[in-house]
Formats: sequence, C-alpha cells, structure tokens
Amino acid sequence: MEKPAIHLTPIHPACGHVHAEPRSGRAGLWIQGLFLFTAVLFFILWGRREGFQTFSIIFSSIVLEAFPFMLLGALIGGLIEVFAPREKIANLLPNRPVLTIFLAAGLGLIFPVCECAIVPVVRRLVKKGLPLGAAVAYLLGGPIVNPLAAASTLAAYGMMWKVAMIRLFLGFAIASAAGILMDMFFTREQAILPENHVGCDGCHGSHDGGGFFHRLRAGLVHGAEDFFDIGRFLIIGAFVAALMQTMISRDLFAAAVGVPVFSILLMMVLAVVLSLCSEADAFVAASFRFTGMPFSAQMAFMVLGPMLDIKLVLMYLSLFKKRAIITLSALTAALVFFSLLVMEYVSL
Amino acid sequence: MRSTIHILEKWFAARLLPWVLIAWVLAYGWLLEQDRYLAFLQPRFAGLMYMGLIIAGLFALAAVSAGRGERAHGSSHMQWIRAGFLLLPILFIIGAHNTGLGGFALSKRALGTSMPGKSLKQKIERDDPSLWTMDIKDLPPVEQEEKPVILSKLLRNWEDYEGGEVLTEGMYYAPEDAPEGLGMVFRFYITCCAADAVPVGVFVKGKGLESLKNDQWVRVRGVCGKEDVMGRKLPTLTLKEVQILPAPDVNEQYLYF
Repeated sequence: MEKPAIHLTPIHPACGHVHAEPRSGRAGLWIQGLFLFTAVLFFILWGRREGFQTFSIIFSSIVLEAFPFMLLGALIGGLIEVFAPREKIANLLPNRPVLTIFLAAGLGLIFPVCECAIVPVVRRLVKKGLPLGAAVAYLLGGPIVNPLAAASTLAAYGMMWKVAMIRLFLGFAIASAAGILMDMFFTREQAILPENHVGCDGCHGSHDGGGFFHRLRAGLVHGAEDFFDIGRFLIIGAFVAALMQTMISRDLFAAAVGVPVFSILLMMVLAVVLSLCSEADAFVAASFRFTGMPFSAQMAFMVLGPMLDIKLVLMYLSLFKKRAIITLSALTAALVFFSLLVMEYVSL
Repeated sequence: MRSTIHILEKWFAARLLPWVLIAWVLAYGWLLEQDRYLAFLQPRFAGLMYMGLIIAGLFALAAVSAGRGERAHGSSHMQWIRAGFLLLPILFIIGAHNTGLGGFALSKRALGTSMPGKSLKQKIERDDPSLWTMDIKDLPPVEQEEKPVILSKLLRNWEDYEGGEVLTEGMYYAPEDAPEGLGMVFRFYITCCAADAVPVGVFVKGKGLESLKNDQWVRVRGVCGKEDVMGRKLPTLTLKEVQILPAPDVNEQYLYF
C-alpha cells in the first residue's frame, strides 16, 4: 500500500500566510550571510590565536550543551503537533486565564524543560492554541521552576535550601507576572508571528489520517524542520555570548560590589551576556560570593539567566513579533530588578 | 547555463536538511569516539551526546524518507543560510577539540584580582623577603609515585593543609604585572561545559619562577600559607619543589563538579 505523503507547502491554505522567510527579507538574508561569511573568515585567519581558540572552545561548548536539548525540544514539539489534538489541549486548560498562567509558570516542576528546549515546545503549543500569557509564563518559568535548577542551586550553595526556594519562588512569581502583563498589553495576533497562529501549521492536517508510524514520521519531520528553522538563532546567540565571554573580564563585574543597585544591574547584564544554562549559572553566581557581591545580585543573575539571555532572545524571533520581544525582555528585566531590589532592602 | 545552475542550486537547497542532520550525526559519533567531547563538556554529559546522536539520526531518517522537494520552507538562499549556520559549529568543534582553556581564559574569569589603578605588584605586600629565595633551578624533581592533591580539594580544605607541605599540579600563569617570584597554579572547574568553567588556583612564590612559561603544566610542592593580596589573605604556596609536566590530554585537563 502506498504511504500517504507528508506535504509541507510554503503557503498554508487555512491562514494564507507565506511560510517562506517569514521574518527575514532580503536585508535579513544578507545580514545572516555576512555574519556566516565573517565567522568562517575569522576562523581561517585567527584559528591559531590563543584568544580565538578560547572563543572556539566556549562557542563549541555552548552549542554542544544546548543542541541535544534543542533537538529534544524539537522532537517533543513535533510529537505534540501530530499526537496532541487542539481540542484535547484546550480541554486540559483551566477556564480562567489567570489560573492557566499560574499553572504554566509552575509546569516545569512536573515537565522540566531547559531554556534551549522550551522554545520549540512552546512554539508548537502556541500553534495548538495555548494562550499568550500561559505561553510566556511557561517560556520564562519552565527553565527555572524545575527540580534540576533547584538541585543545582542547592549543590552550588552548599545545600542552602533558602537560596533554592527563593530562586524558584522568584522564578514562578516573575514568570506569572510577565504572563499576566503580556496578556494585558498584547492580543495573540499582536504578539505572535503569523506562521505560529492557531490552524497555521502548514500541514493541511495530513496527519489526521495514516497509522501510528506515519504520524510518528510526520512528527519527526516537523521536529527536524523546527530544528532547521530555529537552530541558527541559537547558534548566533551562542556565537555572540562566546564573543562576550572571551572579551569581557568577569572581574569588572566583581569590582562593583559596593552599591547593591549597581551590583544587581551588573549581574543582570552578565546573565544576559554569558547565556549559561539554568543548571550551570548557580555555580557561576556562587563563585561571586567570595568577592563580596551582595546576595540579591547573585540571585538576580540566577533568576534572570534562564529567562533572558542573548540566545533566548534570538530564539524568540521564531515565535514572537519584534515589538513583543522588546516588551517581554524589558518587562522581565524590570520585574527581576525591582524584585531583587525589594529583597535587598528587606534583607531576606 | 545560468538556469541550469539555478535549477541545481534549488535542487540541492531543497535537500539540505537531511545532509545537515547527517553531518551532526557524524559529528556526535566523532565526539563520542575517544571521549573527544570532554574537551567541551563534563563526563556525565555523555548521555546527552548519545541523546543528540539518536534524535539527529531519527530526524535524518525521517527527513530522507519524507519525500523530495516539498520539504523545504523558504527560498533556496534561506535554506543555504540555515544549513550554513547549523554546520558552522562543526567547523569550530573540529578546530578546537585538541586545545584547552589556558591563561587567556584565566585572565578573563579570575575574580577579585583587579583593583582599579593598582598593579598586582602594588597589591602584594611581601611580609617576609626570605620566603622568596628558593630558586626553582636548584630544586630536586618531584618523585613520580607520589599522588598530588587535586587543586579543588586543596582549596576546599585549605585550613587543614595550612602550615604543612603539599604536592599539587596544574597550569602555571603569571600575570604581566606580577612581581618577580610570584605566579599562580590553576585549573578550570567545570559544572556543565567549558563556558561555565571557573578557575581554581593558588598563588605560588619562589625565586626563578620567571623561567616557567604561562600555560605550562607543573607539579609543585610547597608550604601552604596565606599571603596578603589586595587586602585579602589568599592561599599561597611557598615553593619547595617544582617539576614541568607534559600537558595532559585535553579531556584530562579540567576538574569536574
């Protein structure tokens, strides 16, 4: 019997959106091409220099650590696409939007996903009708409100439960608040890219039919395409983060330990720049303890890192419109900053 | 002619996805062979590498079997760009797999060693000049059989070792502005990957350290103490013996959490 073909066409008949190059026009194509060319040129010209070798190691490390998680996220996303009907997901969600947001912010506790895997998963869930606020809450909360992040924080801070609890609580509270605020500021259509809208999966619903293995194959193809589409954002982010790590001395950040406000801000900048995984950043934050860095600033680093960094912001380009990304980034940074400032002055 | 090239370019562009995935399957296989991934990641992440290999393999199989030509979204130029980005890390991984982080990375990652307006020379108060008289050229070589204390263990339990002699090993580094006879022995401590590597090390002092080169692997024996550096008492070894070691394999250079 002939297998039903999996057709993925550039224009979706239901929504009429062109899936081809949704965000990047000719200019974007040129910029990305130039970026790629420059990276290869630098590799050829400076490959043997010590500074460049350090950069290469850091860049490769970030990519190697993130890729399996991203592949896993793409796989989960692909399987959600073919095996989870829209109606089933809608039935699972509570009727009250705020409750959905709280649930999504804490979902990482039972469904832990790191920041590199979460974007493809949320992208697919959004296509299945997950509300904007809940998507934002899971996107921000998933990588931090989870058992792995708690365990790494405990290990880094010598089993200090208070530190791990504060980190998880702040992660949950900030993710929920960001979700609620994004829901207030944007409609789905205003925030989410057209190709991620409900009913715009580009598949003509072809996997409604066919047996298990056909659907599995379709899920894998979806996953592979997500990886192919989003992968470059992760790589550009990892490249920039590695460049920053190679060029900027961490000691500069440790020098500003005197004023908590500046310390918090600087550690937030460092979290964005370093783009570490949520498991590792607790250890880097803990290494600042001996420099006299205020605890609130260390916590700012641990809370913001999994929510907002260079590679994450670039990966958001595959899900949100630019205005929504800017608002979400500013909101997240502001919420982290003010929460930690309050914590500093109430001396938790 | 031009249209033939155009057709070929489009034909190849539409089939790039499986090739990119196959390239990653091969890259994972190569990294897992002889534990090459340890130059970048910590050993407990072997499972992560296998997971990447399996998922990339499944994706490649699915992409190959999913029909031809209809798979790709976007223009052919965009397909080439996407493929180029996904292949870029493989180039860097191959280029960097036999090198490790060294003094350059240390200078960017060490904390608490800078104080605006002061050089390291000014920051160090030499309380007892007689401690600086040992010349490494006169030192007997360290016996091979003795096991060195791992730097991370040494630093964690410094109080227990203080006042006694200890043997340890790591990379040597002397900042440009360090006074004569002062350097550092260090290693990198990795939680997940080299991007989060944190240096752990002790200052070492002894006459003739200038003959050592930065990033050279050394085994040192010295008396554990604390020296006043930048107003803080920092762990310092007063050298008794030193031996230059061949650099270990990259996958043995790091300390892991």
